[in-house]
Amino acid sequence: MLLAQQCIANLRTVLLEARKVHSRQDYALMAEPILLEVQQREQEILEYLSSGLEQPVAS
Amino acid sequence: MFPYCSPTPPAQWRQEVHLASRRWPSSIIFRARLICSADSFRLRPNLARPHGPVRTREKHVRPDPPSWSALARLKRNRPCRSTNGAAFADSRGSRSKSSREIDIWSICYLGFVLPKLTEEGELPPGVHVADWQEFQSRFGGSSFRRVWLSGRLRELLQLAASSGKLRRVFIWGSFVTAKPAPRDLDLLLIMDEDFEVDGVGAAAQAVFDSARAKLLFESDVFWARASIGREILDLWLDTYQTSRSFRKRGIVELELP
Repeated sequence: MLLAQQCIANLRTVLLEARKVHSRQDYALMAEPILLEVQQREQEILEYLSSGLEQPVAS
Repeated sequence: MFPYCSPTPPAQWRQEVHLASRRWPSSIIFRARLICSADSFRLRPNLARPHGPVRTREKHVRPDPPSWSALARLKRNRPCRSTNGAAFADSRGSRSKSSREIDIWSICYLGFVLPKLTEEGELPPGVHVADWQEFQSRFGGSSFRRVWLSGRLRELLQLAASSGKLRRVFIWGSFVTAKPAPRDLDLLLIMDEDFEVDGVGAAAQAVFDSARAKLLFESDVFWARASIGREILDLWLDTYQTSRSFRKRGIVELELP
């Protein structure tokens, strides 16, 4: 879990640094797949964390 | 294990080499390429460039480029035999004459560049350098799906290289695993510092647009200028070495011709 969170933090750092060395248009293009990757990895963490919390609706 | 066990290198054998120096800590080695012929061997100049962090043989590599005068002295070395069957050349007699020269005392070239896949069907952790021919033979032809994807990859790289600004290529994901039918390609392109997407042709621009690249090449293309810096690139590569199942895995750096 910590590894997964570290990966997301790494990708955010990459985005921050990339903003400094790319033009606005180029940054928009290069950041798009990274943002998608961050979103997917966050979703996976949420699914992992919530997998043990699901309760049956009907008893 | 090794395809060539002769102490004499076969003709035109191009393999990865590890250079070590007694002046460096034992954990520091260089990765470079060696071109061997029957009577001599030399290092390819463009492969003496510094690599990013590379883990090979359980060693972490963060080299600076050696001086060419030091590397040229390797030509005088005599190849001999190492215990594991790989050819091995030793030059302990040579001494550096200048403080900028690196006293390289051993050079070992291996039979394989890409290591064996792990039990999970993935490359062992690290960034493994391979040229196109080796990459293709290892991952490009074992199934129809792989043949199709490697064709897409070739076309994508040709377009990216048409800009004249393509510097490095990294590939990871299911394509560099044992899966017979990988879902797609995942790659990172490092471009020159002065690269601009608007400066390339219309066809090549599709490579740098993730949505179009996904449709045309079945690829998740990440890219950046080299000016993001080595530390950030290392961080990025480290992230891609972590699979979705939170397991460390290896990725491939494709050597450009």
